[in-house]
Parts: sequence; C-alpha cells; structure tokens
Amino acid sequence: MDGDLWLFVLPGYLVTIAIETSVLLVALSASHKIKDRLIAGVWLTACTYPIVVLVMPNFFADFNESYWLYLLVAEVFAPLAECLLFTAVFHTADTNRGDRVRDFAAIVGANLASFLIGHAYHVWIA
Amino acid sequence: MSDVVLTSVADHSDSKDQLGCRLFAVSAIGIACAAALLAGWAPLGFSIATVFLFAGPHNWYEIRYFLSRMPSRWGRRRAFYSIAIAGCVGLTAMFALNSWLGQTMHLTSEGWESLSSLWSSSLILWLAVLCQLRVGESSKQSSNQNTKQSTKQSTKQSTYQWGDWVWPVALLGVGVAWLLPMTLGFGLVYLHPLIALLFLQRELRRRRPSWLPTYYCVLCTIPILLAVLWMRLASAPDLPGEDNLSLTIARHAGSNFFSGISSHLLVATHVFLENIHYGVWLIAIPLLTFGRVPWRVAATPVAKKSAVWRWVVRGVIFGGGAVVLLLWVGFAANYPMTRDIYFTVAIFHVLAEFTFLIGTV
Repeated sequence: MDGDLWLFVLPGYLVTIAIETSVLLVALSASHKIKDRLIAGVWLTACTYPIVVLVMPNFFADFNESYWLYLLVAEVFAPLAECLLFTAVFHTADTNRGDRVRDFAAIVGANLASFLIGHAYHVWIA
Repeated sequence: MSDVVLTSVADHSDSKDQLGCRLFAVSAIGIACAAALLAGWAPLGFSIATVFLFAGPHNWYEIRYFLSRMPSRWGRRRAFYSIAIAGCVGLTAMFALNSWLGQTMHLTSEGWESLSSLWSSSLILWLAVLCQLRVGESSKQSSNQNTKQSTKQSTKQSTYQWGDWVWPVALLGVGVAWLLPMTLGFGLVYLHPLIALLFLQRELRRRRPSWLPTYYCVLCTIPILLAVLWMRLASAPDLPGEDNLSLTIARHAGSNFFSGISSHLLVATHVFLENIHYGVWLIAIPLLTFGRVPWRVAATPVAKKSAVWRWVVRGVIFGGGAVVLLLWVGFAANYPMTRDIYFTVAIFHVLAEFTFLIGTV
C-alpha cells in the first residue's frame, strides 16, 4: 500500500485543495475576506488530509474489506475537525450565529464535493 | 592623556577578545577533528568510553543551565511551562512504557512501528502546542500595540495569524510518522546532538556577539567531517562483535532500521555527533559562563523566589550530582544494562532541550 500511497498523496492533496477552496470561496459567509477564504481552503485541507489519508488507514485491519467503514469515519471526521479548526481560527466572539451556521455548511459542502468527485474518479476513471 | 589611556584600554580589550575568539575556534575545530578521527577509527570503544564519562555530567550541566534560564515567575508563561513539564514527563513515561512493552510482550515489527508512530505523533502535537503558545504570546503583544494605535476598526477583520500554520505542518508530521514509522525516532537520535549548537549560538549572541562570524565558520567543519567519515566508511564492513553490548550500540545507531548501510558508518556518525553535543555542554557553554560556579544556586532566578525554592534548587543540583555518581557506578557494574536504561530515560533531556529552545526564542 505504501508504494501506491506515495503516488496518490500529493496529487490527491492538490486536487482536494482545489475543489474545497473553490466551494469555500463562494459559500463562506460575507464576513470573511477573499484572502481568508483562500487561506482557509488550503489550511483546513492541510490539517485534515494527512490524518485521513496517512493515519486513519492504519486503524483498519483489512483496509480493502473495511473501505466503506473507513470512508464513513473519514468523511465524518474531516468536516467535523475542519469546522472546529475554522471556528478556532476564523471566528471571533463577534461572529453571529447565522454566519457560523453558513460557514459550517460551506465546510461540510466542500468536503462532500471533494468526496463525491474523488469517488467518481475512483469508480469511473481509475 | 585620559583619551590615550582609554583608547589603549579599549585596544587591549579588543585584542584580548580576538585572542579568545581565535582560541575558541582552534579548540573547537581541534576537538571536532579528534572526535571524528576517534569515531571513525574505533567507534565502539569511543562510544563506550564517552558515554561512560560524559553522559551523566552533560545531563547534569543541562539541568543547571535550564534552571538558570527558567524565570522565577511564570506569569503569562504558566500554561507554556506547565504543558512543557507535563509533556516531558508524560512522553518520557510513554517512551519507557513502549520499550518495556516491546520487550516483555515480544511485539512484532508492526507492533513496534505502531507504538513508535503513536509516540512520535504525541511528540509532534506537544511541540505544536508549545509553538502555538509562544506564537500566541507574540500575537497578543503586537495586537495590544495595534489596538492602542488604531482608531477605527474595519468590519471585516482577518483573525488568521501566520503562527496558525504550525498545525498543518504538525499534522503533516503526524501523517509522516505513521507513513514512515520510527523515522522521527532515528531522526531525533541523529539531529538532537546538533540542538546544543543552537544553545551555544544563543550564549555567544548574549556574551560574545563579536565571535559569531567565527562560530559560523567553525560550524562548517561539521558537515565536512561528516562527509569525510561517510566517504571513508561507506563501504566499510559491519562492526564486528555479536555480544550484547556491540549489538545494542549498533541498534541505538539504527543498524536494524537503516539496512544496507554499514553499522560502522552509523555508529561512527552517531558517536561523532554525540561528542559534539558533549563538547558544547561540557566545555564550550561552561567556559562562556566562566565565573559562575555551577553549584552556586543563589543567583538562579527560581532560587531567588524564596528560601524553600532555594532548597528545592539545591536538591535538584546536588541530587542530580548523586545520580551522575550512581550512573558511573551502574556503568562500572553492568555497562550494557545501565546504557539501555540511560538511553531510555535520557529522552527526558531531549524533550527539555526542545522546551527551552522554543521557550527562549
């Protein structure tokens, strides 16, 4: 698996950043500057991607057989962790509830988009 | 007349400083060359002798040095130092537990790798927390200044700080720790000796700033000597000796991990770097702080807090001295076992070095 992983890690990283940043650029609340949206797109993925791709597979005994369980855990962990990280860094005490909810929805949407596109690639192209 | 006297005093002082700088450079290069020669020629014997003689004393001097750098009141650094100490103790305990588990439960290589990755991940996250706390201090200082200076706040404020990149870097490190288990562990084995050079640079910056250019030139000899060692020993056969001690020394240098590389080269490299580390802590830094008798603790900031703290510091200094003597007795009685125990527990001093490196930036 390690050999395949090396080929997958960097391209996957860059594609995920591209997809998620595109969604966040449009979907985050108006209280965030463009610069912060771009940074968030890169920063959030940079935090969670290594955990999802490099760490989590080690906790599944037979990775191929438990692939769907891994996906479920990863796709719950990633948006949850990114919402917490985003709140810690980009929200302040002045951020209103509506903006927070919209930001969280944007993050979940970004992760869903990258998951669906990645899965479609895996099923139909790879 | 007084101007002439002042000028000649200043000239005398400058020439004394230059002489001291040249002596420092010549001694440092001489010691480094001698260490490289002995490490390459007789790595096992040199390792045994230097660990026996210098391991304990250098740890003792490090404790003394860190006590002198620890502020008497932690104040806004309370969280930093609390987490640092908890991390040093916790990670050392975890390291020792992993070692014990691996040996008593006869773990497979996958088991060892998982334990190693878990420990490495904990270390990285701990370092990230310490870095974030330090960056947070600097951010609070600059934002307090900005608040005083600015008159009108924008409705869109960027709360993002450059220090927040600590987390992606740390989490990438965690990923690498699981992708390449034991890499960080052996990275520490080979890189931690060089941390002493950073502390030496800081002491020179404080006490002998004019020596810094010479110091940087002296540092260039280290990669040169390493290159010479590698060229000479790249095709050397593995070290002889199937006894427990020789195998342990080779294992500590990563002979099981770096398969395909001569254990002679690995042990020689490790011993050379360790002796650079010992030389800095036992010769260079003590000479720079010459005039401060290491066992006199009254001037230590922590000791100035109260009479009780003075006794605590004395206890640490003299207790540490007793441990050094005990270590020598242990080495004399059963060198392989004492060495194994020492290298397990000595991770504490590596973690303490990280703490003060981050804390005194």
